Amino acid sequence: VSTLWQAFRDEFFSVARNPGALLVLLGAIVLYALFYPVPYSPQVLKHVPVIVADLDHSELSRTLVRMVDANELLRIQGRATSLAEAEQQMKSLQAGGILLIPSGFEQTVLRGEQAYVAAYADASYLLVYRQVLTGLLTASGTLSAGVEVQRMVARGVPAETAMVSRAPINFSGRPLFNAVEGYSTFVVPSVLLLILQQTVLIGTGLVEGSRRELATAAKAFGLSTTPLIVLGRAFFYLLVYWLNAWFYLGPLSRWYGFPAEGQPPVVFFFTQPFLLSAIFLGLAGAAAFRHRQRSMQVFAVTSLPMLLVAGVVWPTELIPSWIRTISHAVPSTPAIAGFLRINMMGANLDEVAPEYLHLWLLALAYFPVACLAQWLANRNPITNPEGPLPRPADAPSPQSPSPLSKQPAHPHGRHHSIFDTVGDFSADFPLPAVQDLRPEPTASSGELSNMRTPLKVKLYRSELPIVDQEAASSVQEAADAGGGVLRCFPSFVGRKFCLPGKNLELVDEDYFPEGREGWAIDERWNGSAILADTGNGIHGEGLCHFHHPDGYLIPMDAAVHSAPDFIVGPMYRTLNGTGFYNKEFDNLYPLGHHMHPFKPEAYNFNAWRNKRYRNDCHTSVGLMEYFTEEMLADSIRDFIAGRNNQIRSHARNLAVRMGTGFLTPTRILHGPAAVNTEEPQRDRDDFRFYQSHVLAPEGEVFLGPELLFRHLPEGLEGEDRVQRLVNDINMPANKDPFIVEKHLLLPVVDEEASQGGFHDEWRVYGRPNGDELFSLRQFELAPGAETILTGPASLCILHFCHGTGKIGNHHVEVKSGIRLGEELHDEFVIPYAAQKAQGGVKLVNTSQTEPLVGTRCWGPEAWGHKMPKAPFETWPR
Amino acid sequence: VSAYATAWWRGFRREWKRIAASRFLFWASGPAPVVLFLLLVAIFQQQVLRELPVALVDQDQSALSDQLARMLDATTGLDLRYRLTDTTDAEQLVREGRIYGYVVVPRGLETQVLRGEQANVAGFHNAAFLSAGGIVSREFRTVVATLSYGIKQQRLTRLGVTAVPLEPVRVQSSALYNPQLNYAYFLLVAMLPAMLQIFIALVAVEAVGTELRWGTALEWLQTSGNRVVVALSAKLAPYLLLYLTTAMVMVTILFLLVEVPLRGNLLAIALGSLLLVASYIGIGVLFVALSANLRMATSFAAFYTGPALAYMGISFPQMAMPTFGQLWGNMLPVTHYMRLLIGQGIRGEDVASALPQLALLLVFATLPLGLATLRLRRLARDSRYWGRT
Repeated sequence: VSTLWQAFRDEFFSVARNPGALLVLLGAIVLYALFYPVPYSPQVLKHVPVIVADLDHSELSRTLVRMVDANELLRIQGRATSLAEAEQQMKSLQAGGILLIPSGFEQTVLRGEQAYVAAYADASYLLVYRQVLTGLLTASGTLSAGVEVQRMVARGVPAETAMVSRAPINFSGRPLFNAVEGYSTFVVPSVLLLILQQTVLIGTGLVEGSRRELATAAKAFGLSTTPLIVLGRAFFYLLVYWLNAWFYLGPLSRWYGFPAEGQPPVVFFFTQPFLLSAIFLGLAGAAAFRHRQRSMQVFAVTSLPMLLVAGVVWPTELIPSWIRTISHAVPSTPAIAGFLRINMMGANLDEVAPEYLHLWLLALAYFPVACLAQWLANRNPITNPEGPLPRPADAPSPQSPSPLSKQPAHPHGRHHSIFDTVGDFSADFPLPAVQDLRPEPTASSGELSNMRTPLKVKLYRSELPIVDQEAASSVQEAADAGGGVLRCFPSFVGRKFCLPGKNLELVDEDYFPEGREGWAIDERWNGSAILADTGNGIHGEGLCHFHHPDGYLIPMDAAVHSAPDFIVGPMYRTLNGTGFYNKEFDNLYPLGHHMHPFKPEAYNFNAWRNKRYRNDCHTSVGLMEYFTEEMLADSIRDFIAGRNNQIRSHARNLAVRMGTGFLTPTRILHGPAAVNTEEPQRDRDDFRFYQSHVLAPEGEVFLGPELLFRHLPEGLEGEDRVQRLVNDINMPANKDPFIVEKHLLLPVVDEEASQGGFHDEWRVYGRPNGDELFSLRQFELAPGAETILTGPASLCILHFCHGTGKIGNHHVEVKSGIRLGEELHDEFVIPYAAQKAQGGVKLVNTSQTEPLVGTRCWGPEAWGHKMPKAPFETWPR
Repeated sequence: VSAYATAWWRGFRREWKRIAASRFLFWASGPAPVVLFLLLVAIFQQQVLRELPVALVDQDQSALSDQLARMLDATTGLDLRYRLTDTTDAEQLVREGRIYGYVVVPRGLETQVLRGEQANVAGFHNAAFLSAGGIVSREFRTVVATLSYGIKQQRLTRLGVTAVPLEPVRVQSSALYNPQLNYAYFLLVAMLPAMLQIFIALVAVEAVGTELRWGTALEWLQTSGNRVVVALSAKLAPYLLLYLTTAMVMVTILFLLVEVPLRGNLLAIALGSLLLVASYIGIGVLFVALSANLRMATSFAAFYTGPALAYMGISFPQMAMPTFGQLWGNMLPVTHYMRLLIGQGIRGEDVASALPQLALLLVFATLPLGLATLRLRRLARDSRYWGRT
């Protein structure tokens, strides 16, 4: 059932996020229903212009002309004196026919001989022909009857008898079901049904085509779950088309005045197999479409034949049997035949039993076909020109099990949330159920509750004990004591193959805890509830720890998962964590050109953190326009072969300006400059290097191909792998000449908050792919000033970079010459609940000379519409 | 000039390769339309409606009603499948879709006729099927009238009157241009071009739209020396050739296979076909230029070309449409092309009368493409318009 529900939900999101699908499934339904019937709206062709050539000029001929003019089907457009002139006029006036009354007409009639008039009707338009002829025959028939009756009366026959003997058997013809014999009533109801079917086929194909074109296809299907997935998807379309079919068969048909004789239950029952068979056919066919526009193209050209074989325009009996046989496979054929009789003739289910049964058979037959097609299509990851990406589920988890926790923080492994994936990826991932998210209670938790046992591990050289039991209550105690603010123990992260830029304010020798040969401190993480995957063997590396007033540390992951409502708030259900953290990244040399398949990344270029190296630096972004896919493939081949591919030299450059920000979307190559950057980001780690060599003191050194082969599916080898690596780069976006301008984030001052010595501005903002993932603001409080730091009800990470003061009940001090293992007073976390309850925390600058400067960072969906738009969002399309 | 020529040639060759590499472009630029043309022709193989199933509700069971039944069955348009006595049975047969109409002979018909009283016969036809219903109704009327005339003649003969005509005034009707009243002519002449224009517009959108969608626009321009006019004309030339061929195949199918009369000038038709193809190529490109979005442009093209058949005025004449319908119909090149086909084919008008249509088609063939070129000049070079979904 959960698979079913999930497939339903996935399909809903796929459609909701796909403007093309919305346009087809809802917009086109309305548009075509209004547009298509316009030409037929007069229903009946009347007042067809005719030319009269009266060569007789007699009383009788004038009577006939008057009768023609009185006929509602005809209108006398012109009069001619000869047949040649009449023909001429017929062409020039675009008339539909000619009535020629020969000279001597009246004389012939009076003599009692057979008299003729000639009618010429344009048969190249058959409806015109029919109306002209009917009109002229009626008029001459009336005249003729009058003449005959007069003649008999003249012989002494009573008028009544004369009428009877004129026509012994009187014929009255009556139209059934379409009383006015309207053209619209004749053709439009069938077309509406066809529109229902075609939009289903196009819509399903468009959704599937989009999924493949953008490589957002969800996980590969198992053969056993496929029927459930197909049913779930089908049910979604069925719901949409209940609405659409009701609109067409109900209000719309009434509005057009079409006969609606069908009993509502009959209509409802008959609709079901029609919609189901169309949906299953759509899902089966959809598997063939690799591009979103393809289904539209295919079904636009097949609509007319499908309408013709339905037997309305052209009787079924006259269609060659082989075509009729093929047409039985299309749901609209029996559906139109059935609905026409239900709605116009009031037929009940028994009377349309063959069609009803036929439709159920089609639905039953197309269901396994749809399952098979969907399974075949989704068996393998899809390759396409835009570049499929490994699904996030394939990506290695950034977390190794926390050595600090006796029980895993995520009892059911890592869950993916909508923010694990951005933009088009998101719809394919389930929301985890709430109960899955909380740590399982340990059997003995009651006994342990009052004995918070320190773990015998150290954070670098810290002597503070770490306690992860009862984290929920201890973190609340800590927050209460801090006036709603939690103080963090600094979390430095070491990397191999990296050289510190030495902007992290550590004492020089502490950048190399293992000597010059070992790993070195390159990063400082703020407010992270996840571990850094470095392999350095440091306990809790990367993870944030909160100070408890009793003198011990609370690991943030334990706190988040045991008190999610307190720290993260309602977003925890979606994120299954905090969803973000902030880091300082500080490398001596520029990084190689790399990209992130799933996580967008942002930088704040903070002058306060670049006291040491503030020379003219460049961040490389994207690729120049001349760089072709073939050149990229060659670079990749060079990388694999260990040759220096120098790909960064083909990039555009952002000249770094302190005081600005930058946002790098996914699948864009970038090589950050050699400056300290503050990088708010999502709480996952994925990257892939495309540059083979990076700068080191000894020159350019080879990175090794494993950094290129990250996040690739198993078993991809050789040229296939090269092609996949090429496809994963979003070439159009990388080659965009405005890539730098689009993603450069100039500071946006919050004028409302900036007053009384307080200045606050946006440094990182914008919604990559429409999702608000993270944001960062930098503030400065004047010497001696104080303010209330306000912000949205959301978890907030605070990191000071200059000055001394107070926040909440905590002392603030930013110092240089930090020793590893030393506790600091510059990094704080304001939990969701405290922010929500207090609305803000008090901030005081206790210095009389120096400003108090810091950054605040928020996670997904914190600011909503209050966040300014980034240039890439407002860039003209 | 030779530099432009080589640049054009490079672009031209590049497009052929793209057609060969894309299943959609390949099939849609010739084979698929021809297959659909043949399918439509096959549907209308039996060109005149005949042998439509009907019923007779005979409540009289007399010699006269037997005679009526024989006459109904003998009519080419009808096939008397059922003889019933109950009207409700006939109604049910109509609802089940088994018959298109029925004639009711009331009890006492023969007696009434013999007594010289006015007798009535009622015919019911299913007007939900307008074409079949119309024929059934017409045939019923003719059959009953013939029967009635027969009786009248007998009576007059008995009275010794022979010289008096049965009907003082008669109409000699002539079906102009289409004397056989061939339904297929008139439908196929409109339907085949209607199919063709959908294909052309969609393919033109795909050909140019994919360059923007996949960000290959710059490469496309560079192939043709960075000149939009050269690049665009080189890109569209293969489609012009392919669809001109397809259009000529279509014309051949119409005149040789369907045997639509060709009474006018074939050259005018060929020229019209060329302009029709060019028009829809230009319009497709304009849709791309306006939306810079392959999917949107495809939607536009489908919306513009899909319902065209309704607006062309073949099934329901343009003169009876509301003003919007007439305007929209005239905004479709295929409407004018169809008039050209009917004029030069079925009606056998002189070449001069084709000139207005040819002139209009020329406007359609040049104006949209010109506008599109102006806008593509910017679009193709500006990466902001690439990759939009």
